[in-house]
Amino acid sequence: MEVGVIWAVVGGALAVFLAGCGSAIGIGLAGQAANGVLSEDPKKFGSLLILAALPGTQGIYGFLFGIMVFMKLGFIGGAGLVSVTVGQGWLIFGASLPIAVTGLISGIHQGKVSAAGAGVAAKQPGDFMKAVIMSALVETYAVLGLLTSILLLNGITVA
Amino acid sequence: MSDDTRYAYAVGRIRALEPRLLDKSRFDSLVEARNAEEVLKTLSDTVYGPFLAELKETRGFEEALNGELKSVLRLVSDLSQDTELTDIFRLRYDFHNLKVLLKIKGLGSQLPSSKSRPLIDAGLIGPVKMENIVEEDDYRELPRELRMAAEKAAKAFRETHDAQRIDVILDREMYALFSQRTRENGHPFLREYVQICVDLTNIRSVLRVRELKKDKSFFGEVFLEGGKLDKSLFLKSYEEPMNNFALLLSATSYGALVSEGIKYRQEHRSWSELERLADNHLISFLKRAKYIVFGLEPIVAYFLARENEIKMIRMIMVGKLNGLAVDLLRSRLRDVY
Amino acid sequence: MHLSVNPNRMELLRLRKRLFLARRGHKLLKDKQEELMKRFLSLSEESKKLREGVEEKLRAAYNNFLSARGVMPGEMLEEALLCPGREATVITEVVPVMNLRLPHFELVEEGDIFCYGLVGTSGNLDIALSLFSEALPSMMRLAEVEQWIELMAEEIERTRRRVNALEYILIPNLEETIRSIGMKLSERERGNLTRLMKVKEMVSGR
Repeated sequence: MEVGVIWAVVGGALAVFLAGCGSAIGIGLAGQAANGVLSEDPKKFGSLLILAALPGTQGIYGFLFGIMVFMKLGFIGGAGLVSVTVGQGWLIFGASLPIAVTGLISGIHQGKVSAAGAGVAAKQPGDFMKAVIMSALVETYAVLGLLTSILLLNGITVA
Repeated sequence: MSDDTRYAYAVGRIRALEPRLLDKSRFDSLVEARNAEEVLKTLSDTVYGPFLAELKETRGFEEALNGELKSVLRLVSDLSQDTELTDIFRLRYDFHNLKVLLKIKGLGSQLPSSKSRPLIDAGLIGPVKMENIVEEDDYRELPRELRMAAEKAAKAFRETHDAQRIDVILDREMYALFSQRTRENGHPFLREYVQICVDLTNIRSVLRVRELKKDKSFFGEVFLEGGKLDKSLFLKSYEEPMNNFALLLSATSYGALVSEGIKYRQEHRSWSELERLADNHLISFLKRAKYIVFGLEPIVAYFLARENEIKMIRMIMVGKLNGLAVDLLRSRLRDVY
Repeated sequence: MHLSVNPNRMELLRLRKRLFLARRGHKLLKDKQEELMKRFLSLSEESKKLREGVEEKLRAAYNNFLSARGVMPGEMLEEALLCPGREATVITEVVPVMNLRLPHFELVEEGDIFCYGLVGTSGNLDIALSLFSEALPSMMRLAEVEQWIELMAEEIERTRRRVNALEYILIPNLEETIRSIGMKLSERERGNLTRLMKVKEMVSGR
C-alpha cells in the first residue's frame, strides 16, 4: 500500500467523521431543545422535527464527499484500486478539509440556531419559518464547503 | 453571556412554558373584573386552573398561588444543573420557616397550634422536620450556612429577647449566603441579580428606617452587604432630606425610581410606587434572559417572572376582596416579563 | 287639679313651704340642665371631630395595610407580625362630674411598633402600623367621649323630666291648692263674720 492512498483515505474519512460530528452535536443540541418544548407542547412535533433535522445535512454532505473520494480511489465500484502518488494523496486530503471543517463548525452552530429556533416555535408558532430561514443561513457555508471540496476533488486526476 | 449547552433541553422547555405566563392584556382584564370570583374564573384556563379547581372558598386563593409556586420551584430544581445556585430560591422559604419557628419558640406559652403556623412548604427542608430541629434546638441536620445562621439568631434572641433580632439576623445571613454562592459559582447573571436585589432592599431599608426615626447604627445593622452601592453612600445623606439621597443616587441606575418613589411617598404617604418601580427594575433586568439560548438565565428568569405574576394576582385578589378602586389597582400593577 | 288636702291653715303653711322649695328646686334643676346641655354640645362637637380624625386615620391605615398585604404572601405577613413589639394597657378610672360618674381611660404604651425585619416586608406595613398607633390615643379618647355623651344624654333627659314635672305639674298644682285653700279659708272667715254679725244683731235687738 502506498502512502498516497493512506492520506487520501484519511482525508475522506475525516470529511465523514468531522462533518458527522458537527451534525451529531448540532442535532443533539437542537433535539434537546425540541424535546424541552415537546415535553410541554407535543402538538409542535412537526415544526420542531424540521428544526432538529436541519443540522443533519452536514453529516450527509461529509458522507457524500467521503463516498466520492472512495470511488475515486477505487474502493467502491469493482474497478480495482488505482495507484495514487504521495502528492495526489495529499491533494485529496487537502480537498476534503473544506467540507470536514465547515461541516463540523457549521453543524454545531446550526444546532444552536435551531435550538434557539425551537424557542421561537414555542413562543410564536407563526414565525416558525423565519427561524428555519435563520438556521438555513448557517447551512450556506456547509454547502460552500462541500462545493469547494467537490470542485477540488474533480480537479485531481489519478491514474 | 454564558453559553452553557447543558441547558438546551431546559431552555426549550422554558420557552414552551413562557407563552403561558399571563400577559399585560390578561392582567388588564383581571383588574377590570367585577369581583374576586370573577378574577378566579378568568384564571381558570391558565396554569392556576388545576389549583383553583380544588379551592373551596374564594378567600383561600393563596393556596392555589402557593401550589403553582411550589410546582415552579420543583420545575426549576429539576431543570437546573447548578442546584447550588437555584437552591437560593428555595432557601428563602427555609429562612422564612426558621424565622416563624424561632419566633414561636420565643413566644413560649402563646404557641399557635401546629396547623395555623404560617409555614411555607417550599424550602429545602420540610416544615415538619424544621419544626423538630428548632424544637430540639439542634441545628446539626441543617446545611452548614443555614445552621450557622439559625444558631446565631437563636443566640441573639436568648440574649436580647427581642424578636426583631431574629428577622434582622436571618435576613442578613440569607443575603450573605446568596451573595457568596453566586460569587463563588461565578454566574454573572445571578450574581448581578442578587446585587440588584441587595441594592433595592438597602434603598428601601434606608428610607423606611429614616421614616421610623431610627438612628444610623440601626441602619448599620439592617444594611445588607454585597450590593453595588456602598454603605457610605447611604449614610452620607442620612440626616438630610430624602431628596438629597435621591440626588446622590441620580448617577446610578436607581436614580429615577428613588426620586419617583420619594415623590409619591411625600404626596400619598405610601411606598407603593417605590416598591412597584423596584419590582419593575428587576423585571427589566430579567428581560435580558430572553436573548440567552443556552444557560441558567432563562430558567431563573422564568421562575422570577412567575413569582412576580403570583404577586400581582395576590394583589388583585386582595384588592377585589376589599373593594379597592380599579384605577388604584391598575396603578399598582407591575410590568410583565 | 288641686291636691286633696284638708283646707286648713296648717296645710296652707305646709303647702306654701313646699311651693317655695319646689320653685327653688326648679330653678336649680333648670341651671343644671343648661350646664349639662352646654357640656353636651361641646362634647358632641369634640366627638364629631375625633371621629372624623380617627376614621380618616384608620382608612389610610387600612389602605396601606391592604397594599402591604397585596405584595406579601400571607404567611410572610403573619411572620412579620408574629411577635408584637408594642404593648398597650388601658387604665380605667371613674371621675365624678356633677352627679355623674364618668369613666376615664388612660393609655399606656410600651415598646416599638416596628418589630420585624426589613427584607421581604413592605414599607407600607410600617406606615400602616404607625397610622394605627397614631389613631389609638384618639380612639381611646373617642370611646371615652362617646360614653360620656351617652351618660350625659340620659342625665339631661332625667333632669328635663324633673324640671317639667316641677314646672307643669307640681308647682301649678301647689299654687292652685294654695289658692283654693286660701279661698276656702277666707270664705269660712266671711261665713264666721256674718254669723257673728248676725249673733250680735240678735243679742242687741233683744
